[in-house]
Amino acid sequence: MDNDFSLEMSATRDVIARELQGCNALTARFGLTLTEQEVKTLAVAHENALRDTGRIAFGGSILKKLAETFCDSPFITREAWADTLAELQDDFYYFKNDSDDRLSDDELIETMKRVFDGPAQGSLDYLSGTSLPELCRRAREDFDPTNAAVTRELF
Amino acid sequence: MENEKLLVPEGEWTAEEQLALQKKLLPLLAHRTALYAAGDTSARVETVRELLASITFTLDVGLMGAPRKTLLTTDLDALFERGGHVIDQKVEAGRLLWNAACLTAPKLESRSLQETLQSFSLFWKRYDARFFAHVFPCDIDYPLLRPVPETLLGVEYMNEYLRRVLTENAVLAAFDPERTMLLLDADSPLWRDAPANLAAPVLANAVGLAMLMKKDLRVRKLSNDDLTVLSAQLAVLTDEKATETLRLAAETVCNMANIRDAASRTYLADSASDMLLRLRRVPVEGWRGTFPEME
Repeated sequence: MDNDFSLEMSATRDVIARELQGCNALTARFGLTLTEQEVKTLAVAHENALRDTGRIAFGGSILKKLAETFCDSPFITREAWADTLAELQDDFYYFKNDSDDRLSDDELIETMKRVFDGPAQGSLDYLSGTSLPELCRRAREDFDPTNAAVTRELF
Repeated sequence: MENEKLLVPEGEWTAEEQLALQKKLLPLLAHRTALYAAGDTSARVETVRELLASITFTLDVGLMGAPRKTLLTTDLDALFERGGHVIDQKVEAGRLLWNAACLTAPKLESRSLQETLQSFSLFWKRYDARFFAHVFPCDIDYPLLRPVPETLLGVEYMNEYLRRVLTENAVLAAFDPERTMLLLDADSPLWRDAPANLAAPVLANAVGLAMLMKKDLRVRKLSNDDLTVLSAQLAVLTDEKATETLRLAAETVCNMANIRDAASRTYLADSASDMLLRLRRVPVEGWRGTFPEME
């Protein structure tokens, strides 16, 4: 019953595919589009990311938000777009757990973007290896991500 | 998931019925999860499981005793709302029960009882009837004569625990605290600090005296000779008859203690009948574990 609920509550591959195809119109302005095959691969990756992190999605996937937020980054190329999205998705769900869900989707994505375009200079390794673990540690200690002074200290 | 077993007892539902219920529950679960996540798009599996447990508990409360298969035909949203209202009422009833339990608590220095009742004071601050109605968010250290069934959850667990405390308080109130302390000291010198039930030795002593047809259940202590007589009395009875005798003796104690309500009387009769297993297993020389020898 457990697994059935997970599967049925999670957005289906078709829904995710439609969401991502819809995003292409926006991201194309920055030279980033996904092929049909990449869309399918990302939809499968979404299921895997949820399973690996023990989460259930019930309001669509996070991929659409990630695509919309990261598409204007100067560090992402067309060739790397799909892989970057897949890795950002993995990081997102991992750090959602690591923060004990104390960071909202928007707070986490905004922070990821700020670090990615800032100190990480487009390095996903830097993003997942330095600032985000520290941010999550502070989030678990009730840190307020909207506090400008503290976030400056972090990034 | 434990809670699903509560809602869908094994053996009573066909696989098709379980699947139908699951499908019916899904939109409600998705809605409640979205509300809980407050704008986020995902939640941990464990969190969703707990939310589901809360939903099934709330629906169960909303059924108010109606057959669970009603769930297949009824509007779950409406039932969930009704369950929520009933839970709110139970939460308020719990406050009255807690007040009464504190006011009638025996004047005995039992740390575990005091701390348990104190812990309950946080219930109304911590209890989340909207999302985690099945969770009881306080610590219980004090053991009852008979534990509350694990099938009761959330506020229902607390209210039943408090009802039992009130019944035990009523038993203790019928006895002189000085003599109760002597009995408790005889039972375990650590009773003030260790989690030990206060009513057990008092009830056992009074039940034993009632079986011996003694008139003053409040004052007299059970001698070794009394225990020998009791042992002989039980030895000739079948388990069924012996249980009946213990239950009748508990009824006598209830009458003496002026305990009138049926639930309390049943609880104490059940507690008295629990003694039989120990008395059967142990020879009469070892019965002081049940009937402590007062100084």
